[in-house]
Amino acid sequence: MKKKKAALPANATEIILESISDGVFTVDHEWRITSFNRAAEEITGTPRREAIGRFCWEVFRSNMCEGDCVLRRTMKEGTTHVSTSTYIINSEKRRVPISISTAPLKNEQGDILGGVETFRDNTVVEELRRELRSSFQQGDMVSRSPLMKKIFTVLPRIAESDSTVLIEGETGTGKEILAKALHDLSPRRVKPFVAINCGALPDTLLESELFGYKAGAFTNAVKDKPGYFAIADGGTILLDEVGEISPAFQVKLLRVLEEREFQPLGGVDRQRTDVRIIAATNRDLAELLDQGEFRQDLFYRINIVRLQLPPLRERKEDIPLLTERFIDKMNRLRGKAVTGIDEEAMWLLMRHDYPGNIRELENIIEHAFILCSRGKVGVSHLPAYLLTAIPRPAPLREAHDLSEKEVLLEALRRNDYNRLAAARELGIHKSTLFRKIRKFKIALPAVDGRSTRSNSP
Amino acid sequence: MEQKGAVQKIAVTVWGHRVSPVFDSARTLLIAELVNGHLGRMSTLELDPENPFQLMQLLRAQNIAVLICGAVSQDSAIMLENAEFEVIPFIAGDVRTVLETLIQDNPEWTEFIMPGCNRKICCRGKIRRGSELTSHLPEDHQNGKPDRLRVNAAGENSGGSE
Repeated sequence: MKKKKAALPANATEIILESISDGVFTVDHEWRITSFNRAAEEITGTPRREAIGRFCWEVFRSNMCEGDCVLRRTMKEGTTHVSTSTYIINSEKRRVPISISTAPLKNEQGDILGGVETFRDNTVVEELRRELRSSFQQGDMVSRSPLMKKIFTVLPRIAESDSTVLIEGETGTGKEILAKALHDLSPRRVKPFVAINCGALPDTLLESELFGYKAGAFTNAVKDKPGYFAIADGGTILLDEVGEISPAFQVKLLRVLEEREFQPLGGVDRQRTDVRIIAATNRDLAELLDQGEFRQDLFYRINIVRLQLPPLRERKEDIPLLTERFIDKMNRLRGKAVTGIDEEAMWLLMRHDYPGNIRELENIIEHAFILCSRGKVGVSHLPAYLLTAIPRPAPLREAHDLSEKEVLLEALRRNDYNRLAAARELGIHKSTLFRKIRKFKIALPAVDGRSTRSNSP
Repeated sequence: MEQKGAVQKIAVTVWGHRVSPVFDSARTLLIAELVNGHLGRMSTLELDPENPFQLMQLLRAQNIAVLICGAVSQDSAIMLENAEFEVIPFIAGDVRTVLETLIQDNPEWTEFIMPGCNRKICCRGKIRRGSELTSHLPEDHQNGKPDRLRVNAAGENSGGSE
């Protein structure tokens, strides 16, 4: 009995497009949507009847539309682009993480009729990734370093305690981010978090910023202005660069810490404040104490819980993780499609000492993004000072090949150039060994451990 | 508009001559003056999409009455509302035409509302704290009027479509 072959219906392509879970739409040369499948409706939240005929950016609403539109590149260059990560804003105001692929839409004669874009909702993937990362993440901080993990472990308990905290660390180590994480983990999280750089302001300005002033306190003080202590009431205040505060202002600050009261400039009454204080410094306060530049009583008042942030050079294992994070961030913010960093560029990053710490690494990635829009960040995209400071080694691939060649030669020598025995010792097939001998151009002696060979036929 | 006769400033996040499709990644802010109910001087400012606080400060410093923008994420919408700006979100189209529509007595917005938004919460502005603007403005919005979000000093919704 003959089996009857089921014929595909005429609208097979349409049926397939409707049944897949990837969103697909096509545009003409005017950027108007000409087709829009079911999944595209679901992901964007826009019904097909409203999408057809509209400009793609009005429907798709991606952060790349305005800057680095992949479909525009495809239409211009006639090339396909695969898997660029970005986000769209759907009709319910939700940022939906997606990956995009684009291709030119051609007719049978090869003429470009427009472009086709497929996109996948990566919400679940992103959630899983976030969950995975959360094992080495606290607030906005990420780390695999044992030094940081110690801090992550104690952070929730410190946050709960409401004690004054002193954060020490070199510039750029993330003191403010740590302070924010403490605030976000604390019962004060619903109240404001404010940070002020005490080192950047002279005493009088610092006093008016922190305590506020009353109308008429000085020229141009036409109305009352609340200070940070009033604004942050119920929340947390970060006093950054606390080591730079003058001895005179240290007295005023000590009084606030002890009495939980402050007096606005030009005011008569003292005001109560319920603010948790976190102090941060890149100076060695104990040393300042010895030199008489920092008051002992203030030091003991703020040094109730001390957290020391290690410099990046002591947690270099975090460089790949932080680099990946900064690349993700820049892709999101700049609407670019950088996929990572190549081995040689990463090697350079790992070799650097980072006097500017994490901030410096972030700046390096930002610099790379100026020169690199897609693909991987390479050595040529990095700032020149990273290249000049270090003697360049052979690239990793070359180094790997060199050591592999050495291993092969050693095994061959040990086995009197008997290829079969050498391959057995190396745990590889003899044909693999022959291939590698050819690849590395290893010169073999005329005589091997198994047979005699003549150089001439 | 609320106070005709006075000078008001309208801000629009723009992309060339169009409203920028995504507020969160917009790079240019157009500021249009409205003098006695007529469009006056216009100027543009560059924005850093990485720094939303810069935009907030800019809007405040410029004393902006209304912000018109394209698609806006929930986070940005909350930030704008907390800063007490009146926002007309999810708008698309030619900036000049949008502004001319805004100054009309009974503006008809249907053609400017982004696709997929005319029957959903994005333009009606479902507001936090349990209440919805829909209770203030459902009918005329469905007739093509987008929402205006405004939060008063007490943090309660007071805005609606005109």
